[in-house]
Amino acid sequence: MSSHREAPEISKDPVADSSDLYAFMSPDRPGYVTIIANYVPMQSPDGGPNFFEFGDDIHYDINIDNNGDALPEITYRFQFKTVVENPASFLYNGGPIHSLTSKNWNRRQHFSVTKVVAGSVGTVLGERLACPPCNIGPLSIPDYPSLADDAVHTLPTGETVFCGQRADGFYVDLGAIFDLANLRPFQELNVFSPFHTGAPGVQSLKALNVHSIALQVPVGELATGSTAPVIGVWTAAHRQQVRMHDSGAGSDDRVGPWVQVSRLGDPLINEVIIPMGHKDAWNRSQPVHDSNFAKYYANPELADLLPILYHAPSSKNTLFPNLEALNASGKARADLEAVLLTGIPAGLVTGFQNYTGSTQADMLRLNTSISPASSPSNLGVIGGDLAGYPNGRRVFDDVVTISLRAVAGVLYPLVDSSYTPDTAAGELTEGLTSSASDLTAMGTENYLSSFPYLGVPHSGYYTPAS
Amino acid sequence: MRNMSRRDFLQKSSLTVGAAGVLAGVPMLAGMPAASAAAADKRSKFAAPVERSAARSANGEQIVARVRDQATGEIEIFVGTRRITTTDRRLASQIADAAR
Repeated sequence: MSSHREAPEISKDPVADSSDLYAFMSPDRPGYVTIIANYVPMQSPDGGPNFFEFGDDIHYDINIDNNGDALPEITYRFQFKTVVENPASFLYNGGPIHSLTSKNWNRRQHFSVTKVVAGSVGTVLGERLACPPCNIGPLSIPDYPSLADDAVHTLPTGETVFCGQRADGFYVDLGAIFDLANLRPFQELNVFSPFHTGAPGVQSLKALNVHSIALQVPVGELATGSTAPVIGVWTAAHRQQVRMHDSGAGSDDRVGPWVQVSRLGDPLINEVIIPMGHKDAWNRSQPVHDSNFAKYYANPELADLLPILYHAPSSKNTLFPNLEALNASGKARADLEAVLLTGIPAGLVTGFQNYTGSTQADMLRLNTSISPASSPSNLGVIGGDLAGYPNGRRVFDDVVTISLRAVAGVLYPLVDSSYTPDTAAGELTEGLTSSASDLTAMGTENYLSSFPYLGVPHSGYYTPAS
Repeated sequence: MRNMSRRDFLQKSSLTVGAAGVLAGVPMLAGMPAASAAAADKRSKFAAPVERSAARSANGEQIVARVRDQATGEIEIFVGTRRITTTDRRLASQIADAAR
């Protein structure tokens, strides 16, 4: 998964678990950057009676670095408050919810947005902003899209915000990935495989929801530092350091400073690059200290596994001989270090750079001067579309395929022109898209063409049919 | 902590004590040593609720303390959104003794 349940500790704390982060130039609103941070992953839409919500005891931050120091020059902080209208009822809603002020809606959340510019105490941009309810079903919420539209708020300072349930837009074949990286389209080539033919991929998140924090900001508010037009983006969740479970009071006490428990910049980093013994520490550390983890980018475990796992038909010869030789050479993967830790410097990819300087840090780097593509490729930069991942990340980018191919060596020629990627490296796919121009993600076609871009959440009533 | 004496702190606090990185909860029931309180709980699961007087800062915030290192007397005090580190070997020892 991108970052769903990716580390032992955070997998037990879903409301603080950042699962995906997107940052892109808004295709329908020139000059505005959209950033979406997802939390509370893997929601079964029918999961009542206590449906999903943000944590009242968490600070959700969207951080912007615009001078390459891997520290936030700007932070947008989202804080939530849950209100129960009738504690005597067990119901989430006692009748149809037609509006965000409906008396039938028993348990609701609202949120505040605070903008913190480095060195300042922060400015509250909006308060008591309504979240939409979860999508219970057609009797409870007859017109969910309209109700959710009402929860899109424009702040007096120009930002647009939305916080609430969405269909998870990430697509991945979890069953295949975690079964010894058995990519179904090539499953007959896996050395452990009992299969004789390939098979289509399975979209594991097709019917699952997530909670999104979506923010749309004029680019001039963000790209104001020395790395302009490039910005670095990451999200982080913080909890107070001490929590005491109080059996007598019926509620818990929380005291102490806010400490980071989860973070996310590029997809799949803590999932795939960081080893098990360091995942929790990675979540608690700051991007500015990521040089401590650089060795895992330089020699990723997955790069070692691919040549071992995939062999030519009826042969003991690996499908990745050049990658195997590169691994054996012991050379650091300078391609991955550049793409993931510093950004791509000018001169490597014609017409593109998203370099933020020599400070190694996991951030989603967006060159805001690159306009949205008129004919996007879900493979982003490696598909010739400079507006896609790893130039930020759009909701439809196939980041699993991009990352698999990158780890397999398709970008290594950027740093060593004598290297020829294996043919198999450029063919790796999970089989969840029909082509690079397929932006529907095999049934995740409910992406929206405008803010907040991720689709209307799957309905509890129609699950698992939807 | 300037508004609270060490005696007040020990008598009123709901404390969390840590030694060698391991946290151990210490219920400090009003007028009752911790060990006695635990024994009372074991005698009857229907024991009446005991009134507790949790330590509060001057503005009413909960206070929690953790002994990080009994040998050096390093104590962390959590209040509001702050963590204050102080060094008091005697106090650290008293808390550790109460936890035995």
